[in-house]
Amino acid sequence: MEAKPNDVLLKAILEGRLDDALGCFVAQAERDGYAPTIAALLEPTLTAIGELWAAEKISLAQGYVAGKLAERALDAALKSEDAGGFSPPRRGRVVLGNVEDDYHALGRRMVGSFLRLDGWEVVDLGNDVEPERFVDAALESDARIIGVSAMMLSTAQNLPRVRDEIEARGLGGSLRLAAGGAIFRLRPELVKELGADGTAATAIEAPALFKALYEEAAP
Amino acid sequence: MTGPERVMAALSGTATDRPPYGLVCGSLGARLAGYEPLEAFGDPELYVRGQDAASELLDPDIVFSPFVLAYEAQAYGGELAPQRGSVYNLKRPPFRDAREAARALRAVPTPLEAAGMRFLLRATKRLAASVAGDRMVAAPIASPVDLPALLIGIEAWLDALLFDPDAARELAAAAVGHFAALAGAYADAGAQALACPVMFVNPAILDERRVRELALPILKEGFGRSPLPIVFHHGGNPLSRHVGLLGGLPQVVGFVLGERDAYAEARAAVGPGPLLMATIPGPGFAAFTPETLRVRLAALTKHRDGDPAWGFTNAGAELPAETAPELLSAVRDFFHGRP
Repeated sequence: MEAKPNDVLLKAILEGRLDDALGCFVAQAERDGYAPTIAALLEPTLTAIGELWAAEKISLAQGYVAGKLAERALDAALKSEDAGGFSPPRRGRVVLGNVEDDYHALGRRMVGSFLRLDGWEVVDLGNDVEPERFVDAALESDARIIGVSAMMLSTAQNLPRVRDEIEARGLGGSLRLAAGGAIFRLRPELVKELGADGTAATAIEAPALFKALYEEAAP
Repeated sequence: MTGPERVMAALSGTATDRPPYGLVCGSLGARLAGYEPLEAFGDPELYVRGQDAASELLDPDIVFSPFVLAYEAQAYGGELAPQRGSVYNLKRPPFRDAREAARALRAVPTPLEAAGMRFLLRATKRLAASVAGDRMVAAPIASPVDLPALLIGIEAWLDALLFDPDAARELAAAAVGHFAALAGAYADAGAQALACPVMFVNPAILDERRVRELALPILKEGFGRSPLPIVFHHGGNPLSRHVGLLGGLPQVVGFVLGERDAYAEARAAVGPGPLLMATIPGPGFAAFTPETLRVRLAALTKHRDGDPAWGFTNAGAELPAETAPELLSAVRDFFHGRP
């Protein structure tokens, strides 16, 4: 019996065979269309990966492969958009960056990949971002969410300065603050303590968090 | 009984008067001695004064040479960034990818004379002279399977391990040479053990097939070239459920477990030999009071259940500089059986 495409894709991701995973996605997309393939094949497979990752049943490397696949699948889909084959959802803009003094980019980049695939326009400010720059960028891009990444406690302790900057400009009701990074997974109580509005345990779960925060933020 | 004697007795499964312990107090020690942490992480004399100040309160069996793995990457051109009240962080790794890093490392001898590396070795030498055999000196070192993440960044190292295993092996071979040279230099400086945080053989980071086929052979080769015994630190991920994978690693005499690890599971997996060290995360230390810390230590030691090969240290990064000095005394009093 022939294996189901979702199983084939899941296996390729878990085994780190990125080219095979992309081939599986593109083959079905060229036959059925990109939007239906993202909905029927890619998203359910990434959800399955997210569940395994949240349950600590797979590795960071396997999650990383899923992030790479999300990036490349979206690139392929956007190329086909020119030919009328794909029209991504438009969810809004978000600002991402690593908090001041933090240089661990991997988690932030993975979150950006999954958000883009989900239809968010990501303004990525990179590493070591000062609080003022986060808020300036959110205002300039009309974003309702700032996503701040910090790997260690020492750098996470700079997060309250971003919260202070939001409040100082009177934006507490219209701008939500998401926090991510290893330290928040280890110590989830820090999310509230340091002034953030929410977190996601893995990069794949970030789109669900951002949707919820987007709804909370008054326009 | 001296600290080294207590550690060695624990390693050999001999009953001791109390379990061996030590905490990583670089920044805290500096603050106790009246310096800013960044001053102490540039001057061996100030670093040792800080360790002396911390040891006066803690009376540990094990003291640590400076825990700044970023200096190993700085030696090849990596750019550091100072952190307020703490050690340096790696801002930019020296190389873009595995092949470039491998070529560069092969082209030069391990730069033990680079400023940061020289500081690490001189501080170790001064620390060994200061403790004069009363305490064991353990030197933190990047493992040969994790050094590449410092040299090219985690993302590029994952790319190599996943998609270009030949390049990964090439860089790993160079990293093994670096590890062996630095381990040898630490031994010459008077360190008696290496404390080695290891991430890339944990199935939470890398899938088990690649751990077995790619990462573990690198680690075995590197550890086999160490003149010093090695304590394997969990590296921030649960270890007890995977520690069985690590049997037979040369020179490994102990494992540092994390907060989420199950002591009994780890002991069952490794057998009666190696030292297992229970931990409290360093960054969370400052949140304790002496009373809550004693309760936590009592809970940890319950798992010991008479096991002689048991010790205590901190997990994660070092204790924060703002940790209250009485917490060090509380740890000492707990293990010395004082009220």
